[in-house]
Amino acid sequence: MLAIERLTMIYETKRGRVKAVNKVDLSLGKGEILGLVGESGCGKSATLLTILGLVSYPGKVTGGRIIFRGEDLLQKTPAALRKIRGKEIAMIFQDPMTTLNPVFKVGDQIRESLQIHGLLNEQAEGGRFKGRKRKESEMDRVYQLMREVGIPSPEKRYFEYPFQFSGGMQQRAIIAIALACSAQLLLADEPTTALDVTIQAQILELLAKINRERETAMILVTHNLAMAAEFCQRIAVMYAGEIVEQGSTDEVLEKPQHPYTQGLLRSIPRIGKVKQKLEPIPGTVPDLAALDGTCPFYPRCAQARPACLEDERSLEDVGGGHWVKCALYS
Amino acid sequence: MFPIGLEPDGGAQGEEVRAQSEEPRAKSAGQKAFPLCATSNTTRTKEVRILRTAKIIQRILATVPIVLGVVILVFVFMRFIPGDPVDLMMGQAGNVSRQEVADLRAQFNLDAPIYVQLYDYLGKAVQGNLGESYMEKRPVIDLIGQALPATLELSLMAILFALIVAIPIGVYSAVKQNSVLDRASMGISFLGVSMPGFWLGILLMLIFSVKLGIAPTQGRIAYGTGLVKVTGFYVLDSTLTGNWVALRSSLAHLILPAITLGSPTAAVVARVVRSSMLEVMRQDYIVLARAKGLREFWVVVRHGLRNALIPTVTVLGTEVGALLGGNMIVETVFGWPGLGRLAVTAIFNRDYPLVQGVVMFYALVFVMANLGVDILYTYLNPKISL
Repeated sequence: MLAIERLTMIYETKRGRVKAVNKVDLSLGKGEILGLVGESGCGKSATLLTILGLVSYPGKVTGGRIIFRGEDLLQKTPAALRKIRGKEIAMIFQDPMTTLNPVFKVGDQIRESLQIHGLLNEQAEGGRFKGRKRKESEMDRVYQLMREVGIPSPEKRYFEYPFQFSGGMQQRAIIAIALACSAQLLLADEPTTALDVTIQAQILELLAKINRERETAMILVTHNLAMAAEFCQRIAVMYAGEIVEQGSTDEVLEKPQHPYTQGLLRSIPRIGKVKQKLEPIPGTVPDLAALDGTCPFYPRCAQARPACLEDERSLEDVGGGHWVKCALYS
Repeated sequence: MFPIGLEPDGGAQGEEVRAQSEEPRAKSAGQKAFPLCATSNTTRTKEVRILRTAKIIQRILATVPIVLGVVILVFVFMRFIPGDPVDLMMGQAGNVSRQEVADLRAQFNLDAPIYVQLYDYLGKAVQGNLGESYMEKRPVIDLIGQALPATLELSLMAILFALIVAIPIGVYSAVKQNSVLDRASMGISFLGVSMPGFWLGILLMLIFSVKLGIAPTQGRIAYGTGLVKVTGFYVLDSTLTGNWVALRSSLAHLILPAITLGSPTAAVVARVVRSSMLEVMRQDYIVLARAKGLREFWVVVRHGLRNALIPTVTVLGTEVGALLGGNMIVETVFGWPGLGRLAVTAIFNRDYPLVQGVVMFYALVFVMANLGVDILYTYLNPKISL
């Protein structure tokens, strides 16, 4: 359904070109959930924004293809892309508190999604209803969406403003916006980071339900490996704008191949293993403006070798659909 | 499956989405006194409306002490200025005896102690009698009644001009930040802020009246248009009576003073709109609006500008004060028979009752304009109630 090939997106800055997304390859089948994990600033969110065509100055896509249902999104005109945005590919954002427009009623913001893609008139049965009755039938559709995402008494909360909603309820409203046009692909950019733990579980359960009932494919961006483990069928690990490892959740987490993935897993506490010392990955993420084509993890890697400094590395299949980009395996 | 993290896993938390456990966040103070959840939707809006009306009335009543304070201050300060109206009149009359001067003072009640004068004045003012102008020998309230529509017409037109020019420029400058047009318009707006009104007025007169001859320099309307006065707003009156000759003439007279008066406001508003648009367009909800598939034009106008108007209206409220001050200069330059010019001549003539009356109306207009801004604010920003 979605195949991303060698996608590269750069930011032109005064210090040089920052490769936020560097030759990223990803693929996603119908109804599949892919977890995109990595540290802050490694290009996860930038990848999602690139898919939706929402990269704005100084960002620029410089190469690659995004094939969505057989068509390259990068070749589409802005108008054609707008028809896909929100209707076929929808996005959920990190911080619900700032994502809803503070001056509009929550219900109207959900309604707007339907309106943009001309789904309101359709709901009103070809314009058979006029005036008040039409308005009611339009609102019914919004109520239905609000109920579906678990917003209680939508008849009342339609008319409330975002500041009258709790964080969890705001995120539900944003999910309702994303669901409004029955998108087949949902891009979730750390949808639970800004929420507290119990609400996180509820939101994840809601997303799982949507995936189950509607067969919506999802890309879940997160830096929480536990969440990715629970929720995703496949995991792609990103580091400094590149995908360094990709495979089924079991494979990646049980048999991590890339030194970075291994380091990540060692730095997370596990329940059950008593008195195990956590090992942080030494060093920090490299300056993305100063990448020279060699392995970006080289300075922090315990298994670094001269081959790491060769220019081109590619994702190598280490068996069972498990791909790794590392000189150790090429 | 993978006991890696400490956080509870989403899937294992049971099938029910326990939405009801979430409490709506605390309501703002305005809503606290008025529980939104308790009533149904229609009665709620009705009650909100009643509450709003009550608050507005309350605010109008609160203006009384403000206006009273202004009147007292002006009353006292006017009498501190050296030379009273009698001195001024006698200076013109030439040869007069001390007795005549004293008689005249007594006639105007100027020989009484200041608190007695104030007491008399306020007592009459409460009954709607603002006294009689010393110079014009006509009731102050009549003079103000004539001048007020002229000033309001000019001020409203100036604000209209400022908004029509400034908002598109501000929005465009923000959307196309650092473009040639952005730099040019911000440069011009800097000029607009710093250019004195009398200078701009004379410059416009020179270009459009003297050189091009397309706009008159003085007054509100040409002679002989046969305008029937209904409200005192000439543009409105001529439209109501269908007198298109008068409408043309009054608009032609209005345009230069309105531009002169509105320019500093336009400059300020353009800058505020630009900076708040820059701020707003960075927000997450703008990205969401784009992610919904909305056209960029509507993203900017519906989601962007709507939010950027909140700080703009705040600034507009303070601009009303500047506008009223500017009125005095612009009306004098363009011979506009409004409150501003009335105030200037009254002050020069030490026409105490007239100055007091005019300043009182200035205070009223200012307070009302700010009340209007506050009411507008509650519509723009749902978090704020009166």
